[in-house]
Amino acid sequence: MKIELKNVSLRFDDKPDLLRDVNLTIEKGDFLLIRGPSGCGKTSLLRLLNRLADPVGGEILFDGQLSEDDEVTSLRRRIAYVQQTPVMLEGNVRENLLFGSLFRSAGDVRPDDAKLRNRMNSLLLDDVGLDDVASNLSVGQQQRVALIRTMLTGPDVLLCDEPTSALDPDSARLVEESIEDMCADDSVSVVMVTHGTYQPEKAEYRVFEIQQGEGLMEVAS
Amino acid sequence: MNVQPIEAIQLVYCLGFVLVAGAGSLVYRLQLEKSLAVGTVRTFAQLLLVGYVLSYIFEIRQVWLVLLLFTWMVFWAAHTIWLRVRQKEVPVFVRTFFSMLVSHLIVSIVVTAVIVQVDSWWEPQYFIPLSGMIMGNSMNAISLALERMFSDLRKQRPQVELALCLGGTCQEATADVLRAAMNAGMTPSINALMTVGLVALPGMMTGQLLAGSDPQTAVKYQIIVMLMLVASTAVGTIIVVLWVRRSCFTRAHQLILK
Repeated sequence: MKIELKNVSLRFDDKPDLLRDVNLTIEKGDFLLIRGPSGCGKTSLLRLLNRLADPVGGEILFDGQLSEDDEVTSLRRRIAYVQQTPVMLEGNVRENLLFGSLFRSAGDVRPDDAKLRNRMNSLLLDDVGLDDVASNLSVGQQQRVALIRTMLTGPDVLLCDEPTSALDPDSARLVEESIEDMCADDSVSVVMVTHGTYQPEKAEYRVFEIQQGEGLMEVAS
Repeated sequence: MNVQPIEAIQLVYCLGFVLVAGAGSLVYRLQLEKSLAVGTVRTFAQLLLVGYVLSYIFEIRQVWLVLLLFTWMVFWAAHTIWLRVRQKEVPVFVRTFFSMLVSHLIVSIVVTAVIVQVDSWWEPQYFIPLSGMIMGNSMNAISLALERMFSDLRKQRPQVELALCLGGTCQEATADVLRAAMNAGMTPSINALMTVGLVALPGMMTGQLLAGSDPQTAVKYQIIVMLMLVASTAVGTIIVVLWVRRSCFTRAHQLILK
């Protein structure tokens, strides 16, 4: 999927512009890192990309077209968003992982236990059981469960809001590699908000900086 | 029926009750004297006025006048709900007004025409007090349900947005919130079924007994009223919550409550 932001602006109520005249094109298989100080609008940019919010100015084109309101649920499955703070629902890990398959837009797709186990093992969650209570997991484990839950929707674009912020270096690297593999092997586009100096090793990437009330500026990666 | 008449001087005696309450407020510095005075004046004014209006409506017996009064009552019920649960981002009044108007009109007509089997469904002596009780109870039920829904939507925003992110519609994302809100609205009238007659005699039954009715007749009417209230609070709550829930989201299923 190709996403184009044209002169996009965002503000809340009477406050000054959070984002102004943002222009950005995300091609299939792109890997973008978004950096900037806290509160500058990085998370808001991700929310615009999967239409959890709409801009007050400019337009966002998905494969060259504006998105229709009544198609937004399937759009959000294609442009999946991993929230910064992992949200665990009541119930066990399996129920959390399969949460996305409960919705009408998911169709009849429902991964079996073997697939869930495989995904969990690939992110070093070998010692976490599918029947374990999800809210009892550590934040780092919850963050990985949340990432798998999102990946299971089979997105074309993955929006990640600091996905490794609560992880130890080894787990963080695993998560980063997993995301890089999705980009390199499956041509999933990735837009990742990050504070740190992370540099993908397995995928070509571009780095953008964002300043409050201003547009995006590409910087040398 | 043998009803003991009440003269104006007897109402004046009642002011003694207000003085007792006022004294309590003064002794404990509750600063409720002004509210007490205003409330007393309003009670006299509003009820005397309504007494005259009802006398007039009972006398001329016109269906349009009964429906006009019914609409007026719905308006104030919806207005009261709006004052209690007012939200900057969500229009509550119009949706509540029309939901209550339609659902309560249907329940009121069913009660007078089908259950009590009055000659004309709009017979003021029956239609007005019964619909008034429906309104009063539903007003509280709907307020409770909406308060619960708005509070849960704010508290559970991350969970709701997670569901939206994973491709859920706003209806799918708020199924639990909706159930909790409906539950909050409907539970008091169901609880009332459990305790009626044990803790206190209900207002309508008391009124009928004071007016000289046979206790058996009063009890039958009270049973009708209790079950009618369960139905009307359920229907009113469900319709209002469903309709207002949709207005908490944009057409693109974005949560607009802040």
